[in-house]
Amino acid sequence: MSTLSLQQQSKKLHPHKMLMYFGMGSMTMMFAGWVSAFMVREGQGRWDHVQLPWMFWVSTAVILASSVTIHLAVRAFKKRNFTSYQLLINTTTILGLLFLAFQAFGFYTMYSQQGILLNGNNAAGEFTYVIPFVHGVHVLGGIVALFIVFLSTKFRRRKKVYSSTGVEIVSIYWHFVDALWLYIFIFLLLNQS
Amino acid sequence: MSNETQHSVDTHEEHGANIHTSGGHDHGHDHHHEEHEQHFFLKYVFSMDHKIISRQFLITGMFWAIAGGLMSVFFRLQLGFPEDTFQVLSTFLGDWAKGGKMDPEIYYGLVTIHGTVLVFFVLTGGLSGTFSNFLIPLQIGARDMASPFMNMLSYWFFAVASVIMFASLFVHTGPASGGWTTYPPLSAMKEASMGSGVGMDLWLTSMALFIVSSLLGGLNYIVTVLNMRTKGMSMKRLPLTIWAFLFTAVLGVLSFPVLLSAAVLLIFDRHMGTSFYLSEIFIAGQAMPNVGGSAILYQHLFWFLGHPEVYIIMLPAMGIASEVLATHARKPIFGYFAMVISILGITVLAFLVWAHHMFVTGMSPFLGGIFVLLTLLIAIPSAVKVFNWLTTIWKGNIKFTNPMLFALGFVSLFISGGLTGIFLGNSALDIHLHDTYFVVAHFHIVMGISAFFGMFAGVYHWFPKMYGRMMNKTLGYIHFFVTFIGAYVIFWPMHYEGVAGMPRRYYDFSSWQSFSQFGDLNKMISIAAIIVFFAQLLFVFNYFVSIWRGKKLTEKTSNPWGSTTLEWTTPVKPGHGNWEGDIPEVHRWAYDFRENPYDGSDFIMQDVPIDPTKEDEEH
Repeated sequence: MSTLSLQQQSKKLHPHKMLMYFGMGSMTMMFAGWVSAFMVREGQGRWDHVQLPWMFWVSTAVILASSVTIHLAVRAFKKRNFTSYQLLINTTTILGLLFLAFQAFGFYTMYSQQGILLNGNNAAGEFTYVIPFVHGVHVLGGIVALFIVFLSTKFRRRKKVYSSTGVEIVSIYWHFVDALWLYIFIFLLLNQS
Repeated sequence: MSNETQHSVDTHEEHGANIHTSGGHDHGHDHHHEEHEQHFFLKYVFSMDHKIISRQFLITGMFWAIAGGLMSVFFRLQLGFPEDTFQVLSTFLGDWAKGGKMDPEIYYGLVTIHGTVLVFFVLTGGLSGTFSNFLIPLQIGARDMASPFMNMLSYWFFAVASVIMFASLFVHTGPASGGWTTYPPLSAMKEASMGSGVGMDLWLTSMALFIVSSLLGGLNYIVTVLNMRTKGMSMKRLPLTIWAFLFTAVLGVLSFPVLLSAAVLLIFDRHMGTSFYLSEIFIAGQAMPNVGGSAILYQHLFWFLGHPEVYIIMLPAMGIASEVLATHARKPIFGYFAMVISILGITVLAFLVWAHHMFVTGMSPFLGGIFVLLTLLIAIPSAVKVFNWLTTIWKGNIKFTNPMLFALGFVSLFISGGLTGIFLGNSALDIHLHDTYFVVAHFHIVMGISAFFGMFAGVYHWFPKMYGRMMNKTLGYIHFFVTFIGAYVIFWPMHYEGVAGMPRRYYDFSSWQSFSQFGDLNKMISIAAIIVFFAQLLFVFNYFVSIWRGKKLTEKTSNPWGSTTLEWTTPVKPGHGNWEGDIPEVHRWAYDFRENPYDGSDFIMQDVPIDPTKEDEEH
């Protein structure tokens, strides 16, 4: 009998994956809040457009590449090819860190070279800091999750974990923050002049 | 048999733990042998059992209800007796009420925290947290939530948020005092008022943690309902409680994040020098450097959560009332499908009406007109629900038990408060009524007191399942009548005050010619408020004494109200995993109240198979 609920689940979407999907909906709403705040504020005038620093282009390329590597990592995991899985998952983590580094570099350029300060005078600039910043916090969360997944598959004791659910969920999240960045980037690009 | 059950619970937990930590297996392994001697700490404190978590939410909610209620007693003393001094105020408020007269600053602080904790900590955390947690797995036939670990985190985020909010009452400059809506600039400039300093920072921290808690909880509720139902429990056989909790969670998951984005921008305004919400502000004659922000932007973001929030509060109460009314009137719920559709309708409309809180912010009257239309549309699903409740009890075999009385009280209050919503939803009338006691009366009746009545109905109804004992009936009756009559005595006269233009949030009305005529009325309201507050202590007393002294349920009386739903098929005191053997299979809808062809009683439980030879057929 090993429980009806589990028997039923096998046919359905894994509950933890479903949690991730609804969580993504929730995070989308939060970013929708910020993006609409941007638009409402822009509509009220007194708006100095901000040129995005070139580093944001590089970070975009980096995070797109990381989506490819994590996709391959999940594939490798499912094929039980753990050596290449570990290589790929670590590459993803490093690309994630690289993304954050380029974002920080971009902020630094905006601050020191373009002279965009948080002094209550330039709403466009303030949004251009805040929205990528909160996105970066989400990427950081993804990096922590990648690290945990890495550890849990690296130091498997007693029983071997062959369920790919954990890795898949992290991968779903990673693709989500990637797509989210792409959206934010394009949105900011379209609004820079 | 019990060994196998245990195994199934373990599989569940291993499942959960695997994702989040690397040590999942150790836990599952130990658990297997030590179920009965599980450490107190794991069993009652960091519990992953949804039934324990629900009681943690309920008791924390009760703590906040008493604290928030006491605050209202204090500011009612000020409003009812502005000339007098009270020893009790200086005892509780110390230097903020020197000589027994409270300072205006702490009056605003108390009003703010009263609103915050009752809306969020009691009627969201305490109501949804308690009943979604308790009833979802039990009524859909699941051993626990989709992720018991996330569920535990949900409570502990709430607990930490509670501690921080409570701590904010004790800081030197007092708690946040800009109203529960915390509009900028009061909330965004530290210099703006006493409560805008540390108190406001603590408020924001606490609320951010509360939002995380409610998201973790909400995600779990949705996935559990959609994914973990037992065999035969199709969506159309779900009890209405579950439908209500499902849509409540959907509302929370989609609207709370927007409040979080508003709060993050507010934190940036407070600490990083941005001015998202601030523009051209003078404090004590000094011009502030911030220009170009918009305080209205905050209102849009706030009310995008703020309005769905009132349905987050109302829907669980509606679900509980539907269940209780049908069970205690011994009749199937009338218009089950219409009930589900109207919950859906309310959920969709909830996202489209937020600007009716902002009619007087200078918005375009045309835009206002659209929001009037959308707002008044909510009357339709609400009226459908009221109609169905009335037709459910119509010619029923009504048992006037404690939960039934509270459910009936809920319907009464929902009608009374809902009608004034039609006044306020109208942008023309709102110009006059906005920010008056009419609004205070409206929302206290329609979502404050009536949600409380839903919650009380739920506690009295499911207490036997929670603790295996009954609550004291007599105390329940006294509690009901005092609260019901008291609620109307307190809030009904406020409508008149509001129509006369008496503004809310004022500290003292006695010096206004036009409002000093309400002095005696205010006195009466204050006295009623104090009596009602003490009646709630009776409930708390009843609750805690009944946990240990209440009449015990036996196997025979394990379904004391004759309910049809699955939670009553569990043992009197279900362990973690809920059912000892297999999870029951469901064969019929949740409201099969009629002559039972098998045992002659007046209800058929959901897990009774259909036998067509006995004139039994699917609804």
